[in-house]
Amino acid sequence: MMACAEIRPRLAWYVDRELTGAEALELEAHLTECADCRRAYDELRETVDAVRGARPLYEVPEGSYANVLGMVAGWERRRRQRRWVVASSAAALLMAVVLAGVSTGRSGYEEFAAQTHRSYERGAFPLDIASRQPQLVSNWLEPRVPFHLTLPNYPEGGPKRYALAGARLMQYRGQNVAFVAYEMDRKPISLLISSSSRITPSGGESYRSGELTFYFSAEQGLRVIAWTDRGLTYAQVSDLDVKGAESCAICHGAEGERRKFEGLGKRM
Amino acid sequence: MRCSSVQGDFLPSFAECVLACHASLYRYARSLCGEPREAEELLQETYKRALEAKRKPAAADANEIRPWIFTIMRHVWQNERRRISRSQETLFDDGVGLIPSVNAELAMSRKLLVSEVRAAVDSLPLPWREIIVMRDMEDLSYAQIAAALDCPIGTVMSRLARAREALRQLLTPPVPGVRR
Repeated sequence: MMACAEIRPRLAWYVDRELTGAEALELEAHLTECADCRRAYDELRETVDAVRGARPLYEVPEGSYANVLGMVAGWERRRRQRRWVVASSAAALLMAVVLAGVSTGRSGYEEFAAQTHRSYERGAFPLDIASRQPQLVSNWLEPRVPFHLTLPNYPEGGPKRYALAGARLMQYRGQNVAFVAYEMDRKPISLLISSSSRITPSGGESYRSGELTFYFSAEQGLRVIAWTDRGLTYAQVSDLDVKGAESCAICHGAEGERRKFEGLGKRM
Repeated sequence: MRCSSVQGDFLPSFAECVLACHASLYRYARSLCGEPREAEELLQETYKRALEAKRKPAAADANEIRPWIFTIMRHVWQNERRRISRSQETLFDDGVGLIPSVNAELAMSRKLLVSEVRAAVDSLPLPWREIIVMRDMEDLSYAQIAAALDCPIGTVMSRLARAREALRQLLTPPVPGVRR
């Protein structure tokens, strides 16, 4: 067994996920037997959890992202002009569309949702809160977004095909929006949620189901479904091979829930 | 995740990767500057320098770009501090001064408010504050922090340990009759 003197500096590595494999197992074994090291670990864990639980420590002000986006898009545009080539990256195209205000019939929200999904998928940013409990994630988001949000727990009771992973606060057009990450079959599904006061979906093909209108589109090889309901605008993004009502049935799979979406598939 | 093109797969560009760093960078700027307006100015100057940089990271990976752009921000901030010569703080001295108590009523046994943790983090000396922000707020690895600060990983670990110990003291209420 490792001595306490060897264990102590490793506690932080363990908390910071810098210790893996056999070393991590050895440390865990030591902690189950050594009360002093366990106490030191608990103290460290408590401090780190308190600090990480306060994320984000500083709120990003409205307009900050738009300012930076303008700079980056301007740089991208000048670069393209200099080289006399059309920029090939989807991100450059997206920024040009957003900044030029091109009237494509899209709101831009779906593109942003897809771009954010891709970035998350590639590990470009961590979640602010990682939890499988909708209530915990809702409580974390509540004071940070300018709308009331309670993440549901569909379907209530019984096994779920998907699992909540957590959430991150994002900025879209100067507004705080909620990026909520789920996982199904080891693939990410994301839901971008904003207030519908200034953001409404409008891209792709629209389908009506009851009082709701769903907009289906493909962005960057991803399926995006956007809709507005009770003051909130949603964009669900995934690369799951499902269509129409099947997408909704992932979460709303219960019999009663499923009826809501049976009309889907009828194009407007 | 590289900048090169692969048929049938969407890969992030340099522009997308630097944009993905925006929120992280802003928060780092706040930890350096303290004031929102100064943080925003620092953020914009950092992006300006990053976009104008002749040597950019080859890989378009936000995880690889983050230490690089954090380093730019740190240099911009240091240069500005030197220029206006108004620093009263020993910028990167690891020496521990007296850390003021944030609030004697704080208790770890209850949920700490964001404002309380922020007050504690803000009261740390800068070298500790920035390392807490990089590690515990922005999830940079030890290697990424070392790259951003241009120092050995051992320095990162020792500085982080001291910062956390200081935070633990700040966030733990004193036991009556016992001197810390």
